[in-house]
Order: sequence, then C-alpha cells, then structure tokens
Amino acid sequence: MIELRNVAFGYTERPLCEGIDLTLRRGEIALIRGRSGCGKTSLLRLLSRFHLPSRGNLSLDGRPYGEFPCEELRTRVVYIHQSPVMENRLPVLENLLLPFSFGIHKDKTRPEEQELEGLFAAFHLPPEVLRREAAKLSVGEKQRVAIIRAHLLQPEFMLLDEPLANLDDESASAIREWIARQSLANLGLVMASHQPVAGLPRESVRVLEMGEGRLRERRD
Amino acid sequence: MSAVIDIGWTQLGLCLLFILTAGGASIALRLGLQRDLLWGTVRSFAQLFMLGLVLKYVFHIKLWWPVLLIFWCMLAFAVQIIHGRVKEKSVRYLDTTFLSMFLSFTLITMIINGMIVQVRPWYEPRYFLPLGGMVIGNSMNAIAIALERLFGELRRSKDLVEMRLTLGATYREAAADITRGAVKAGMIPSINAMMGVGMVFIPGMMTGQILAGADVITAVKYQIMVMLMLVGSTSVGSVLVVLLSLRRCFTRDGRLRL
Repeated sequence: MIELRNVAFGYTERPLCEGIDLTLRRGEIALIRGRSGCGKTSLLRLLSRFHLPSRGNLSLDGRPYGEFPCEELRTRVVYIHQSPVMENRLPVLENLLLPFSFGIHKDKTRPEEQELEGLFAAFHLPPEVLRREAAKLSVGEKQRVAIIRAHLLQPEFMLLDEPLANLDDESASAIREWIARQSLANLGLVMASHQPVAGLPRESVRVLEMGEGRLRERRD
Repeated sequence: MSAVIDIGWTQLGLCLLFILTAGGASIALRLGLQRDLLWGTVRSFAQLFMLGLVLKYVFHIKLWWPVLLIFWCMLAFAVQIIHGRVKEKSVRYLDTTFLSMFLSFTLITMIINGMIVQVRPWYEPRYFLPLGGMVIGNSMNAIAIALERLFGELRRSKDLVEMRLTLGATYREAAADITRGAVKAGMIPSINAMMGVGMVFIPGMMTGQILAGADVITAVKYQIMVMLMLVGSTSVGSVLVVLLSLRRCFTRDGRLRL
C-alpha cells in the first residue's frame, strides 16, 4: 500500500499540486487524469522517487519512502516512461533480461523463453519479436515490451505514463486488455492520461482528476 | 659529448616569427585567435622564466618543503585548468579531481623515485619536479578528457540511465558502460603515445636529454620509463576521478543530478 499524506510538489516555490492525501492499494487500478502540464507525470515520478515532494510524506506499507534503498523501492514500484526507453542495439530478449544482471534481481529466476512467448501472445506480439533489435520496434511494440519487462520483475505497483498515447489500435487494445486483467491480479496500477481511457471496466477503475493544483477523486 | 649550444636572446626573439605566421593565418582566415596567440606567447615567456628562476633557487637550497610547495602549486593550477575546461555546473568535482591527481601523482612518483630511478633524497628537485610535472600534465589531460566524457555521456544518455534506475539498477550499474567509456577515453591518449613514440615523434624529454649531452641509451631508458609512467598515472587518475565523480552525479536517493 502506498500512502501520500499532505503531499505537495513542484519545480518552483509555488507547488504544482498540493494537499494530496491518497492511498493506493495492490489490485487496484487508479487513473490520474488532467490536462497536459498539470503534474501527472511529476506525481508518477514522485511515486518512483525520481522527484521529491516539497512537503508531506510518502510511505510504502507503512514505511517512509526515505528509509528504502532506492533500488528496492523502484523494484517494488516500477515506473514506465511515456516513451519507453530500450537498449536499442540489443535484441528484445536481451532487453527483457537486462534487469536480471542488476544486483537486486540476481537471485531471481530468469524467465524461460517459453514463458516470454506466452506473455508476448497475451500482448498480441509474435514470438519472433524476441529476436528483433529493439531499435526496430514500433512505438506500440516498445510500449508493450516495456510493460512485459517491468512485469517480469513482479512489482507491487506499476506506474504507467500515458500508456495508450500515440499507439496503433492493436497495441492499444492489447494493453487495455492487460490493464483490465490486473484488477484480478495483485498488482497496483497507476496510470496517467490526458485523455479519457476508453474500454476499461468502469467499476474497477478509480479516477483521480488533477487540476488547479489539487488531486480530487471522481465519484460518479 | 659536446656542451649544450646556448640560444641567444636575439635568436629566441626570432622564434616569434612562428607566432606571427600563426597570427597571419588567423587574420587571413578570420579565426579570431590573435588575442589567444598573443596572450599564450606572453604567458609562455613569463611562466617558463618564472619556473626557471624558482627551479634555480630550489635546486640550490635542497630542502624538502619548497619542493612540496611547488608541487602543490602545480597540482592546484592543474585542477583549476581542468575546472575551466570541463565546465559542468550541476556536479561538484573540484575535490574529487584534486584527490585523484594527488593520489595518482603520489603513487607513481613514489614508485619512480623510490624504486626505479632510486633518487636520494626522495625529494631531490632535479628529478622530483620534472617527473612530477610530466605526471601532473598528462594526468590533467587524461582527467579532463575522462570528466568531459563522463558528464557529456550522462547528459546524452539521461533517459537510458534513468530507465535502468527504474528497473532497480544502482547508480553504478546504471552508468556502467558510460563509466567504462570515460575511463577508456582518459587512458587512450597515453596508450596511443606509446604507439607513435620514436616512429612519429621524438619525445621532448629525450630530445632535452640528448641536447643536454646525455648518453643516447640513457635518454632512451628514461623515455621508456616516462612513457610507461604516464600510462600508469593517466590510468590511475582516470579511474579514480571517474569513480569518485560518478557518485556526485547522482543524489543519495538515486536520481541523476545532470
């Protein structure tokens, strides 16, 4: 569980958003909506500790963020950039296995190719993409591969920044289907989007509106 | 061996023709280097004559503290020059640069003076200062190149480094390839110099010794020692400065400062 208490953040003395009291749980899908530049990305970066609050506290399972080694925190709360970054010269398979070369994941079992192919099928990606050079992936393919890469680390929360922006229909529907399934899994999803996200089950998505320096929960 | 032929003041003045040639080219091609050429020439004359005076005095008195004082001044100037060249504002690296240069200098000159040339006393200025000057000069270049590469690549690959951090990498893991590239960039010039020495150019120290009447083979041995010593000092300097400064490029909670 991630808790934010009286959090404010921004880049100047005047906060971009303030007074945030929010609890995010595993198995929950939270959608943060608001116009471009209102602070959605900054909030996701705050949750993954790439940005610090100017006021207030963040905690994960009751423990303040500052007490976690940042590698551990970022493994439990994974942030996926709006334009996912890959090691472009490496094949997709090596990109997926890259985190397992980091000390914090060394003891985790590396996924078998069969498991990866299963995941690829769930994201409507043909298995041959595994061997393709990452530079040759389309934006939609990159977005899906980035989600799979994060998923392999078995995080507790995944932070998706505009996951459906600029995607072709196939990529968007594959990601939408996956998101919808997460309400049954034990993963907490926090998404930022400046547009309404169609095709998600309304009952399982919590909508948070960001604007005029505040974050408000929409209850309709 | 014949004595060294002294250069007369008039003859030395004639060398200014080279500067006039360069200045002419700068004016003709509108390179805007005239000011730098003039200032560089004035500084060369002033700095080298000042050094000559100081060395004359230091060689005479044979005390350890003026030798070390000069060494500290050289070190401080070198660090200042690196600072002027690298121009990175977001990261503090003056102290890491100083420490890297100090350690690489101390280690290499201790080995050279104590074990190889076996100078007694260890601070004998005739050996300590010229050899130290070469170590500092070359380490200075290597460190400046390594730092420029480190900061430049971290800025260029900011997204890639951050992506690795999001996946649980430590700052060292996230910047491992950039660290290697920066250390390598610092080390390569002195390795390349070993390839060309004696074939493409006759190095300054060897030329100086031969002109001063030393035996050619002795000059060769000194030069080999210098080449190897410079590889050692640039390696130690580059590794230390990159590893120490890399930490400064990240905050305690694993965010890139650049």
